[in-house]
Amino acid sequence: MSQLDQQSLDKAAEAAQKLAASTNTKSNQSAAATASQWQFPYGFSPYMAPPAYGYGNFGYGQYGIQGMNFSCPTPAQPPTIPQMQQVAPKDNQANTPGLPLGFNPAQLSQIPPPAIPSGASNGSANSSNFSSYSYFGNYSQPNQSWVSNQQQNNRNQQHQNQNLGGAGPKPIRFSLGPGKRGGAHGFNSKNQQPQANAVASPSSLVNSSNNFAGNTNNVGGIGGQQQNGVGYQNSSSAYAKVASASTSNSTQQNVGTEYRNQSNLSNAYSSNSSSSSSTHSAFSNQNQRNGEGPSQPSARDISQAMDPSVWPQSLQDYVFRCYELCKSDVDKDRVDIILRGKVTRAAQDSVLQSKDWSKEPLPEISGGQVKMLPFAAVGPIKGKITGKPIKTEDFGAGRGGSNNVRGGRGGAHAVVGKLPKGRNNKWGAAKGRGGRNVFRSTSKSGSPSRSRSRSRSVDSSGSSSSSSSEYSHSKKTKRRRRSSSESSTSRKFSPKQSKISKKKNRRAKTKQAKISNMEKKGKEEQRNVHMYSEYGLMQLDEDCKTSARMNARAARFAKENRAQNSSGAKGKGPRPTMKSRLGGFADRASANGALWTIDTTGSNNTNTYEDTDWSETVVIGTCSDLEKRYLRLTTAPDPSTIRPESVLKGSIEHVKRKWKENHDYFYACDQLKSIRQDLTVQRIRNDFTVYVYETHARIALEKGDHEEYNQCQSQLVQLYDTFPKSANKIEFTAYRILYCIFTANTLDLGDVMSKLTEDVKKDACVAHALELQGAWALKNYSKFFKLHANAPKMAGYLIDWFAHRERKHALKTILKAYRPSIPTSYVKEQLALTSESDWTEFLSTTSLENTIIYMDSPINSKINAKDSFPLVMSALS
Amino acid sequence: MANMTLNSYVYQVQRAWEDCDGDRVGELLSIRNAHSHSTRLLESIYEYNDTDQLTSQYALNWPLNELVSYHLRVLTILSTPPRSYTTALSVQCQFAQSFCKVLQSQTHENWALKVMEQLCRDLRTIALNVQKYEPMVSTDDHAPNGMEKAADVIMGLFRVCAADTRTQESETKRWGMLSLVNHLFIIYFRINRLHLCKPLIRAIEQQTSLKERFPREQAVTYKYYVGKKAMFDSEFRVAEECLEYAFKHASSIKNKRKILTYLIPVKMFLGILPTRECLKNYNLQQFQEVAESLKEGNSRRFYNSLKASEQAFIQDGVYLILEKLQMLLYRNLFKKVWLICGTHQVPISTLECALKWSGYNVTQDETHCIVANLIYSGQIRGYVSHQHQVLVVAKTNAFPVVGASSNAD
Repeated sequence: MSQLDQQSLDKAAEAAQKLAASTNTKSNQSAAATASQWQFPYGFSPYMAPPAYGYGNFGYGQYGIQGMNFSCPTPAQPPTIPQMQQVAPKDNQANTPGLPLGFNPAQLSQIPPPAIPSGASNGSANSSNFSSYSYFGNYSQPNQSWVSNQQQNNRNQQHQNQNLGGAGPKPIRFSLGPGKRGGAHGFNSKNQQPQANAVASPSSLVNSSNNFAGNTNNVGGIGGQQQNGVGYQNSSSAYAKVASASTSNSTQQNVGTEYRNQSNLSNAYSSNSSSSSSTHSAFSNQNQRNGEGPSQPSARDISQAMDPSVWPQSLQDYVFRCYELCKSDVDKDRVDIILRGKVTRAAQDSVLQSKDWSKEPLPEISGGQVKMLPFAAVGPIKGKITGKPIKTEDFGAGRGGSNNVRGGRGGAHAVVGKLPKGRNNKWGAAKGRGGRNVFRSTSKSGSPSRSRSRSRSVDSSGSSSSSSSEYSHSKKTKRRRRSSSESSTSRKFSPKQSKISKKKNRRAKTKQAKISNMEKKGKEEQRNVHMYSEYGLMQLDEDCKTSARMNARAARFAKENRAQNSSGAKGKGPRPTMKSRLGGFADRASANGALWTIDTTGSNNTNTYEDTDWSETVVIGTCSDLEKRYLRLTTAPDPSTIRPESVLKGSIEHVKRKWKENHDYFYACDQLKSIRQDLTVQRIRNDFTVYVYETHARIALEKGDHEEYNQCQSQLVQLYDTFPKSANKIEFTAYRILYCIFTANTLDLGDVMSKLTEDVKKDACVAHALELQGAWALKNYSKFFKLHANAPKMAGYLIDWFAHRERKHALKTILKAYRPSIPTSYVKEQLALTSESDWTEFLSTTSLENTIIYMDSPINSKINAKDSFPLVMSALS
Repeated sequence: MANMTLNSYVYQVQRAWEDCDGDRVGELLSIRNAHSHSTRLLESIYEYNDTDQLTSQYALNWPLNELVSYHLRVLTILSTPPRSYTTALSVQCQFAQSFCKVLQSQTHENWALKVMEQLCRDLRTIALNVQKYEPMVSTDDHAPNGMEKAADVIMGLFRVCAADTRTQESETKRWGMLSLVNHLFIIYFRINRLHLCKPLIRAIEQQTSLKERFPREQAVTYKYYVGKKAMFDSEFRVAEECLEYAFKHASSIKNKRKILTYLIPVKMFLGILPTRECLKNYNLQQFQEVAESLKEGNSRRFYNSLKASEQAFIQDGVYLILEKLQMLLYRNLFKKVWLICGTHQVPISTLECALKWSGYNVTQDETHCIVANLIYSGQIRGYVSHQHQVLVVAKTNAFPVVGASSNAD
């Protein structure tokens, strides 16, 4: 059972893996640059981190099976950790809700990787390392639920504590949302902390907030650091002094916000308009910058080691082979970790280029059952190497592009491979000074007003260091807005509220301030993330049908929850859990998104949320976006990303309209899934819910998406139980019968049939389905195809799913029964393949072209049944 | 017993545990036992259902303090008015999980298997009740329901038992496997997860040394479910074998009747019709008509007999199987036609006519199709000449004995 579980996890992890591998490049580059420009007050060798975690601490088995709870061998975390108390600037905090964590410079000394207790030396390396990982991590983050976010917070917090108190053992337990990205996440959180530490407290706050906010934020932050160099640090120090964020001109604040802005921008690309081009420019800028980055050899080299483009061919081949070995996503996770370790080591030993990778032993994959993937890993690796930028399209306008990317599920790998590019690009855009360009470009592109004004202010500011000034300005503006909006929001929370709440507030505020930007950003990020997550997800869904897996997953989350609660027990804020990490990465919120309204029947706004029963919690969304990407929630939802029913009603019509216009299934499915998710999260179960599921079921029927259809169907079964009067209940009952035939599940079929009343059986759809069932059971192909031709409503689509299967059987039967020959026309008629093209298409899709032997070859009017039969049998067996 | 105090209850559990009296411990930890109705016990439970208290006040040590504590909590939940099976289930699951650890820690002894059996039975009962009375409206497609939770816990126990391979036969915990598998079968059948049964069956079949020596009642249950599963998989030979074993060894009439519900259709598929007497003895007359119409090749009568007991057949899950018997019916009908014709060339139109006479309003194409299917499945030896529209049957053994042909589906 656990194996099954693992497998399911694997799939989802796959995309993450690929991405991670391919994306390291960027982060490393930027990191390198950062490192070079920076002095690192803290230090621990970043390089050690990957191997240490990768090999030593993450037991593979554990990680796979336990649902990605990584526990470091270090002692368990102290039972009670004052959460969020460590925030350095007290006053600030109140007014800067966006800052998730306060890091004291003191913390900097602390080092996560157990391998190197507290190396103060490798600061630069560290930063680079982090950046790369954090990128990785970030991208995985959106998928993770608030739990992991929370945990991250907690962890950071813990680190802080420990740091302050001396280097204690640090408890590391990562809870990975979707499961697969576990590894990534783990890295991420660890890395993030150091990163945050590295930066002076305010900036660290910013960074971390960025991290939460999205994939690219983190990176952006780093980039900014890199470019700003000294200024940044200064500002950070100043930050602490300047208490209230609201209107102050202080640079630090600006810095903080700037990052956000940048990240926003990156997100903005994804906004509804044609942003891709602008993105590109930004990317290119960024890339250049990275390339120019000053050199600090060792650290940089190492950081670059993660860049596939500098790998020797043999290494690239080796990596490729390794991935080929991967059967599952967990495998890929492992391979990823292993490879990272190997490369890092090689880089450290400076043998990266010289080593003969072809002789390197391939990593061992669990169970020895190594299989080739149906889709080779070529895509991603190639993508990595070529480094060709590919834009990720945004939701609205860029639809076509994203479609391409997502083209088919089978192409998941390829997609992954490409995506990193886009990500990288975006990422680059989000970085450092690129920000400015970004702004401009953004304004060029769809989301004009706000970003434009901001950039203008930047320009006008004309202060000393261009970049920093930019930051400051933008920050200022943001600040102001935030503060104004804040007042209302912050009131809602007691002053004691934790940073998380503040963060939340701030985010919300920020959102308010720059809704458009944010939304864009949110979308963009989400999109990025989403690609992967969706794949992982879908596959997960597919594979998660067994109870064992589901239970394991549930247990995992339960564990996370527990861990969360215990660590957060002392937190002062409203349940940090509430702020989902979704909120973090998807900063898109409506104007009222600032208020996160959470209705809890229980009193969980106090410190006692250990026992909170989530089943009692009802979230009411505040998001007003018509469109939203689907992203699997693994944790508590963020109301600012959830759309209330009224909005959803508009959404579904919107989706339907779009579906009718261009029949873009990926878009429709994605949107419908997110609508379903919003409904689920808010526990909306009414006629509208039925309508949504029916709509999705119909579209899935039409497009032959079995998995989605099945999900909708199983929900509909429950919904119809609750709302027996639903208008389409009978129709969908008929589809359910047909679906049972499709899956040849006689047990389920009996189940459905046992619940049919006489009235229902008289319904045209059900009657047809039952007749078809009878014909199918007796292999009466003649009747079967006649019924198929006369299928009512959408039944035909469903029957299409298994029509070929029945045809094959019918063909076998006919060829066996008739001698010496059978007219081709008769066979075609029986198989309901009247047109020549249908016939040839059937033969080709079932690869039977060469098995049919005709009596009169050129005319092909008669089939030689005797000779064809054995051929067909062997072809079909 | 019926009015036991907590004090004496704890004492008894302790004694039984020290004596390694698995049966007694099992009883005392079961919700079925009389103690669960003791009002005095239940009253005192409210005050003393905490593990620590049990430890301190009654000197219960691990693991008994934990187990008793869980059990008492389950009792409390089940006896307190807003009885929540869901809650009880989750506590019972914890109970079982905690017991799982105990079981694992016990090496070279297997008396606790008796406790495990009771425990699993309770677990299953509670889970069934959850499904019955508190069906969860899941908000998530993948949320495990009560049955799945229970199945998972039992699976954990099963793993512990199955892994105990190094011990001697007399003290191995593998003896517990079969009862666990049976519990799992019951659950899986209830939640339509038949595919999960396969690994279990394999695990049992691998116990070569123990396989034949499991307790009879367990073996009967096991064979019953394996046979049932085989029937749903259309593996009629396997089904027949297993169900026959179960039928022969089952003790109660009720169980025998249940087994026959599946054994009869399977046998009919293999060409063996039940006797009137047998059906009467077990009150299974609904099969009477089916069997006779089958023999007769009377489509109308067959259809009517199915319709007459449709609900019962569907509930038992045999309706769809019986439906497939129609092919057998056609075979019998065609054989009669062939005998009447007296030649080995039977016009399709004649067969069509016969079908129509027997109450099945077919078209010519469908007749062709039926004949072709019979030939394909080996129930008619011969071929159809499309050109002449005749069925040409073999000169010898044109209609092989039903069940002899292995090609039947």
